[in-house]
Amino acid sequence: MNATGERTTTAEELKLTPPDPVPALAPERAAGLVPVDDEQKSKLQVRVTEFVEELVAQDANSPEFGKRVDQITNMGRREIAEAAGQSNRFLDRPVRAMNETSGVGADLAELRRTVEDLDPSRKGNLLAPRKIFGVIPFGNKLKNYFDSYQSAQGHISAILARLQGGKDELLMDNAAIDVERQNLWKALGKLEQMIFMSKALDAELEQKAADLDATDPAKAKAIRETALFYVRQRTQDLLTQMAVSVQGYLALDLVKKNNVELIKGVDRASTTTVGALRTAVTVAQAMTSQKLVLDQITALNTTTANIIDATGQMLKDNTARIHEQAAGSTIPLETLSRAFQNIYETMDSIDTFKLKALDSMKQTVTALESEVGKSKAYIARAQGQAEAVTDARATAGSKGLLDALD
Amino acid sequence: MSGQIQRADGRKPVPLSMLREARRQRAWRLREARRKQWQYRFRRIRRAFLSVLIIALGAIVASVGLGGLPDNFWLLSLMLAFVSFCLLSIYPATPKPKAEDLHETDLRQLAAGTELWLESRRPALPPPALDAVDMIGVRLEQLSPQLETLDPAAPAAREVRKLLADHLPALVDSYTRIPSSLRREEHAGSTPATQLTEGLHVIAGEIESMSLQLSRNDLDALAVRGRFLESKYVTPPQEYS
Repeated sequence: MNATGERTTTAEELKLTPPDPVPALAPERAAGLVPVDDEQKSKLQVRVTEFVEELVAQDANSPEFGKRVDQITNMGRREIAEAAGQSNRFLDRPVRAMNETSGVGADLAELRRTVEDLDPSRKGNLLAPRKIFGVIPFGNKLKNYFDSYQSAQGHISAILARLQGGKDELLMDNAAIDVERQNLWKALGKLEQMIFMSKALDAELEQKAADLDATDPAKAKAIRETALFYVRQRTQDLLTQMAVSVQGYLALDLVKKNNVELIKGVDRASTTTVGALRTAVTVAQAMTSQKLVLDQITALNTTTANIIDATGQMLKDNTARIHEQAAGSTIPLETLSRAFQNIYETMDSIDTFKLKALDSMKQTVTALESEVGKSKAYIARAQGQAEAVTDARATAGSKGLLDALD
Repeated sequence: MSGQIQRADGRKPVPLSMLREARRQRAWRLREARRKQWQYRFRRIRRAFLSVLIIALGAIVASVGLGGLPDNFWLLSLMLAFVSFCLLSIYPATPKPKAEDLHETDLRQLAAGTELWLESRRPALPPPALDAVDMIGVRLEQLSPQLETLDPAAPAAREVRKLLADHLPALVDSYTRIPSSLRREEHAGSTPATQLTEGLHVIAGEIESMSLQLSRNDLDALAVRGRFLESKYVTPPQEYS
């Protein structure tokens, strides 16, 4: 009996691993995560050199000099705004299927309730003869039990269909995350370029100021106090946004992994349920020579398992084995109980997974929220500066020199 | 083809094909506008003829009703008919698009209204700015259907309105207010004509990026659909285990 029980457990233990929370990222460490290739680097370097040459060629008090300094304050504004919009969207994204009141979570709970009603181990001794007032023999308990499958099958197949719908939603969510991550990756690349550029500007200006110290101290001072000051401010802004965006990027991956695990769980819950029902069909035949017809369930099994289910194939083999055992076993009801146990195990592991996943999700969101708050202040400042210099930009001679490459 | 010349400021030149397309669209727009103008004129003339007819009929009816009229009454009504014909065939004048009207324009009509207005200012603009005007025309044409589905209260709608109804007319008007002899004199770093051209190009670029912004959701939605179908039906199931 024990041997049978052991052998009917699914060949591979369902293990849903919640991904670790995304750690908070210090702005200093944010740069360098997205590679900027050498060709781009040299192009950007050329732009920086050209810009610095032009800047130094101007008189430190001339409006032209001021105009170029304005360009520095405006540097990367577009990139920051774009990246900020995208990482904020992560916070808007509801954590689907994680709440108990709707979607996949609710369907799983309902499935569990329905399945519990059918569990043979909760029905007492099914083999004992049924008696009215405990005296008069009347009917067959076992037959009544298997009849209850027929009335429940419509309900179960409806839940399973809903679960498939929920799974589609999760897949859709993941597709959206893929696209969002692609956009974010592009934005990150641009940010990285701007960071490279502002650091190069910093170095060049520092160098130029040092060179000018001997010949033109006034200009060296102007460069240090205006241009260099703004460059450093911008570098900080860019790094802050970079940290937020990278964190958002990783957090999106976290959501995606959660969804993938949940999809696995849903698949497994569906297949174990269908497996248990199939076992019931076989057991019914073996024990009562009653032909239990669960058409809806069989139909569901063939349509869904064929298309998507990764564990489906494995479980199909497994069900075949259960059938063999059920038909051959002296105690088929044990086999059926075991099949129900499989469903419970699957659902329990989904529940534990959800608890842990929710936890790491919460940590990630909290970390990201505080980072986004910080970067919002920078964006507000950048916006103010941008409005002040829009007119200057429209007429600026060297517009585009401080833009990212396409 | 001043748009083809690589500018010293590093701005990308406007592609020739795009300019050609812009000119084609502009020609069509002009034809449309001219057709509308003639429609308006015909309506005016119809009205004038109608007034003459009514006066004549009135005179006949009065003469029948009163059993004859004094001789100079005919002369009087003839003069009245002449005056009313002249007045009605001149007034009301064909409406000219005004920048102030753009503020009240429905968001759906805003792009078309701006285009018409800009077209009416065209003769006053310097030749180098005309490319930019054409570009704005093309982009407004692109933006126009997008504005139809946009919620007028959305922040994006406010931005579009601000750009098209405030910034663009302000730029053009402040140029046209400058006496023509001063338009080629250098002021504040460059000539007003160049400043106008640069400004118009910035606006053209901004309209395009607004259009991109407005269609971003749709672009994303399509990409997500494709990715979903791929992950549901194409990706081998092994991937997510």
